[in-house]
Amino acid sequence: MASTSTSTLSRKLILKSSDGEKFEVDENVAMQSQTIKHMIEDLDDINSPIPVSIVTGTILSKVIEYCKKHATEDSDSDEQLKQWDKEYANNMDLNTLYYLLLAANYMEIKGLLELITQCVADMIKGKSPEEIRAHFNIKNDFTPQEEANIRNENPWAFEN
Amino acid sequence: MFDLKAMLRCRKRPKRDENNAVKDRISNLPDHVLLDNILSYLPTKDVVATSLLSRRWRRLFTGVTRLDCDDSPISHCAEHPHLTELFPTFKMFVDNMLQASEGVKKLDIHIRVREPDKLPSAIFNCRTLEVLKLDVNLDLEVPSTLCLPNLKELHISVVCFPIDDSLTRLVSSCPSLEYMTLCGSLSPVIPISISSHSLRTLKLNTFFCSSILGSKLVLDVPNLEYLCSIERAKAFLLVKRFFGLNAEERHCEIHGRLLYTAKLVAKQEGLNDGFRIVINDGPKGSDQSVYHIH
Repeated sequence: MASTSTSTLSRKLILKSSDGEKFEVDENVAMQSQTIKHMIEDLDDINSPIPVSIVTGTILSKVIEYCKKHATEDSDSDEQLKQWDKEYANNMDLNTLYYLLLAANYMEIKGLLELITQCVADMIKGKSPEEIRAHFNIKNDFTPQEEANIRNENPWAFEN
Repeated sequence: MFDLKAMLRCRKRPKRDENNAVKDRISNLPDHVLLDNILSYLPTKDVVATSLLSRRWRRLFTGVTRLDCDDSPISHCAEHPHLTELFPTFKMFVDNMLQASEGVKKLDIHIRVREPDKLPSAIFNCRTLEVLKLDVNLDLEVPSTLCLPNLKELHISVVCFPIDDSLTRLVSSCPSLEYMTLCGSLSPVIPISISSHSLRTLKLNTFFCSSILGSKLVLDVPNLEYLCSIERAKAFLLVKRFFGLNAEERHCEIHGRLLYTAKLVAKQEGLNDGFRIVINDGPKGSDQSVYHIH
């Protein structure tokens, strides 16, 4: 077992997902979430499971994976951590990204929220509206005339 | 051996499921998440292009509080004269956006054009602006009346600073200014004076590159905590830190005896309310920089 001072000092918490899955995590891992941090402060018995009501077990396990990596500060350099973040986000499909974004927003994990939204922003960056629609499956509900009018409003935005 | 039709059927089915699974979730995100967390990471060109996605996105882009202007449509004009008509629309867009949206807080403009024009004067009268970054080869022409009451951070990178009092007036019109970086060459004969009570950090870069005749920067910055001057033009690096009234003996190693002494001299002279530094760039360039304590 890890014998670093942080893990021996750290208490264990149990997080419970919306579908009833339970995860035992170190307190310093869970504290990455501002929402959980505030919940613990108000909690009398820290041994009872903490409900993370809108997050499913599948998503929560991914959130915990992120928090574990970011709770151990000393092991990796900034560069290594960035590389890990990049691979972590690249391995997610759009659906997972969406639920992770909602989870990070709800659980108030700033770093994770920024990572996911930056990843989504990168999917939009430099693409034509047609490509963005196809990527996110956005339905075009404009008439051709309306579309032409919008292009005329800001033609420079649609030039490559 | 293989039933091709069955294989195609098998392959098609999960694909259809996939299509169902990839619902348009991004459009369902709340406005504040789309604006603050996603669109704010994008160059303004990409932000405006989202207006064409669907009705949901039609007017969303007008809520962004950060503009990141990409000059590529303009630089194309020089190469492709038939695109010239794009330039006024871009210029008009920046003007309109600045005039219409009181919410703009951060503005980042990079412009390289062959035939330099002026910056829209609206930039210098945007009351909500907190961060202004200009990296342009245009003339830094400041309008006669200007007011940036909330500007905290100002970064200017130009080829040559104007020989008139534009920079002086610009700084004086920013009562909240705390952080400033200046990059560009200083006119060799005309001294530039910078006066600010709120300024805490000042970084000067390639500032004295045309200093054969000796150029002068007069600073009146009583609350300055950090001063950094880097001269790259002569491949000579000069880094100075200045902690003003907060300098302590323990800072000596980092900041050099000179600046600590400067503080002591000021104290001896009874200048407890702050003092003025003048950096004189001597005839041989900054290797002869002289500090005067007033």
